[in-house]
Amino acid sequence: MTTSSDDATTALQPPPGSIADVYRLVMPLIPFEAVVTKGGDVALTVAAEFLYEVIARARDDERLGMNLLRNLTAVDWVEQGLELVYHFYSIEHRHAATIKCRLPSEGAAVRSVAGLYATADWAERECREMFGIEFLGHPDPRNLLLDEDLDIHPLRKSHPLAPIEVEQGVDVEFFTKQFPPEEPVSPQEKAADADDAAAARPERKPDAELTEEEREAKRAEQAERVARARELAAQRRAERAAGAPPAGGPRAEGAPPPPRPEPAAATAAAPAAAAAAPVSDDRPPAPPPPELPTIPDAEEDPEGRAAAQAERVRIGRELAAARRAQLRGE
Amino acid sequence: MTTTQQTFEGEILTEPVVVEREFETVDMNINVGPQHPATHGVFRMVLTVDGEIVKDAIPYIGYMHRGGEKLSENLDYRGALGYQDRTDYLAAFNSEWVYCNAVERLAGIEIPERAEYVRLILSEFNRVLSHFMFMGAFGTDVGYFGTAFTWTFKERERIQDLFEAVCGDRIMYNYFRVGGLAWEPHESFVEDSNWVLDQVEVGIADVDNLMTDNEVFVARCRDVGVMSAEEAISYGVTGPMLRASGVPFDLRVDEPYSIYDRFYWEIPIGERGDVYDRYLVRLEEMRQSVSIIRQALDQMPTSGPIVAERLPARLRPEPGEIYMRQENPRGEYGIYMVSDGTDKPWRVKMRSPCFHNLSSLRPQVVNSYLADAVVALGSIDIVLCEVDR
Repeated sequence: MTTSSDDATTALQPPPGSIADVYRLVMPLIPFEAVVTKGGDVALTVAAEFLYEVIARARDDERLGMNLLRNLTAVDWVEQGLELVYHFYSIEHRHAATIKCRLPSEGAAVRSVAGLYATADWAERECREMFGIEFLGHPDPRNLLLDEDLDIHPLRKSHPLAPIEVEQGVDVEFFTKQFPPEEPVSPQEKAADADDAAAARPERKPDAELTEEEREAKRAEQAERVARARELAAQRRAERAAGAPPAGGPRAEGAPPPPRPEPAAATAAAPAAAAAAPVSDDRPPAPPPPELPTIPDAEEDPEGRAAAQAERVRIGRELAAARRAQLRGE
Repeated sequence: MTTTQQTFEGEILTEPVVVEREFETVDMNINVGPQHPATHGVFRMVLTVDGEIVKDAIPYIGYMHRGGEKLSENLDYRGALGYQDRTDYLAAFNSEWVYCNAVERLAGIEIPERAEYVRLILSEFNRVLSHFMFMGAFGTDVGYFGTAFTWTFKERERIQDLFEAVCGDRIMYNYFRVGGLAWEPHESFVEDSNWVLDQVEVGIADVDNLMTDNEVFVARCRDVGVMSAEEAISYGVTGPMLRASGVPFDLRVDEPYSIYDRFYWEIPIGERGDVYDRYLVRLEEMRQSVSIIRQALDQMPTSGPIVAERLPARLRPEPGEIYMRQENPRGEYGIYMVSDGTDKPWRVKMRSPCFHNLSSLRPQVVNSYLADAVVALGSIDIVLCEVDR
């Protein structure tokens, strides 16, 4: 590999003396398709039936000595099937090679190389769960990264990028509850609904087409609506002046949050009316707070301060006991 | 199963009585994790122990699996860049760099030299930061409760302050862009870096003095989790763990990328392949990284563009593929990217070093003591976000 970018090498034949020639020299009877990738590596494509033999002989042969399996993965070329990719490196000879193998999308199976390279154990497990390629003779073909009982192949292009709960099938019930499927409505029903809505709506004419009488009636109706709104506003103002809790609007700073309306009331009446309605509380109202003794300053009257504090505590306890008794119905 | 003979001399009996007893030991399963301080993240293993000897270890991963590869395939080339910070969060600059390099090589973008230098300096700083983090966490594993952690975090904090000044964030940097950098580093970047390097060198010496010759530390680490070179290579182990087993494999030298061919440094390797060697290799790597940063700061052009010219608004690389791999603090981090000519990558595979390193845990801990299993796990220096992706 060099630092300069060699983008023109796409699908180029490897130059003479490259690693592809060594492979051909070692395995003269096996057909290879060799190209140079953009990274400058030589990629050799072999048929699936030769794959294990190529890998095994490349590892054991002195001229190749591919002792490091640095990467194992696959690519899903949807219509052209799957492509299994092995990246090898020889630490003694310092050369790299990529071995590829085309497999069908369904029922892809190759012989495991876990006996040749110990690292292929985990790499093949990952490849199997992600792409659904079976590695025959693998000592422990369980899922590695995914959940053990999942049987999905997420890195296939057919696997959508969707809510994972739906894909896993673990929470379909929850999802259908959250987002119930809409019931199909036939076009006739839709048209009938639209007719009903139109019938319910009062007919409204543009202003220019109204007669004098109709215009008068409309003006009177508007005036009445304005008067009603003003009356309601005055009533609210009076309530606020009397100290009643505000029906809505922004809360004063530090004030306790307004009580939540009961769900049944909220659905039955309009939201504003529900908020203005008093909270239904079947408990008896608490008695008004009594007059508490003022606590004098500690420097002026230490004894009086202690007495006043004790008095407050006593009153508080009495009140609490009385309230408890009241709530218990005694 | 053991058979013992016990002899009693009774007072009444004239002859000694021999009693034969058989002790049956039962293998016990111990569940460690997924939420356990010694597992460095959300990692679970089921250990089968016979007394204190571990007979079998079955690791379970995937608790952090977020489908990063699928998400990256559904975003455009620039959109998935921020995801790289979330894989290896202790070496986010390094991961971002691999991704940027992969896209740039795929799209044929040349980036300016100054940007290369800034990327390299920040990534090497990140390597030092990550190894400091290892020293602290590993020290806690072997019994330095607090001391190692606070000392190394003090140094880590200095580097993070520098990163914050450069890019405004302490962990999720998102500073590298396809074609260069997001913006200029701050004015006093070189002076600040030199100052941080001076402090960090003292910090490395402190850690060295604290841990390397400590008798308890050596007793906990020597000949624990031993892996031969062949075994390590077979398990796909890379990075400091492989070098500790005596294999001088470093992608910065063996498959040089970026501008690493302009610096001189040495690759530390271990002799025995045990936990102590992994510690020593990382310690020496920090010193070598400091050396690389000093050379890079000297060579770096003081002015110049930091973003490539004429970048397309929407990247649509020609159909093709690339397997870009670089040396992260934990090993070989690779991005296998396939383009189909559209504005989204057809396939993105992240080759995580921790994934392969962690798979080598089982042979390390089987037939060792239970307490050593924790030390062996700590020496792998796992980041579970990167393992599960």
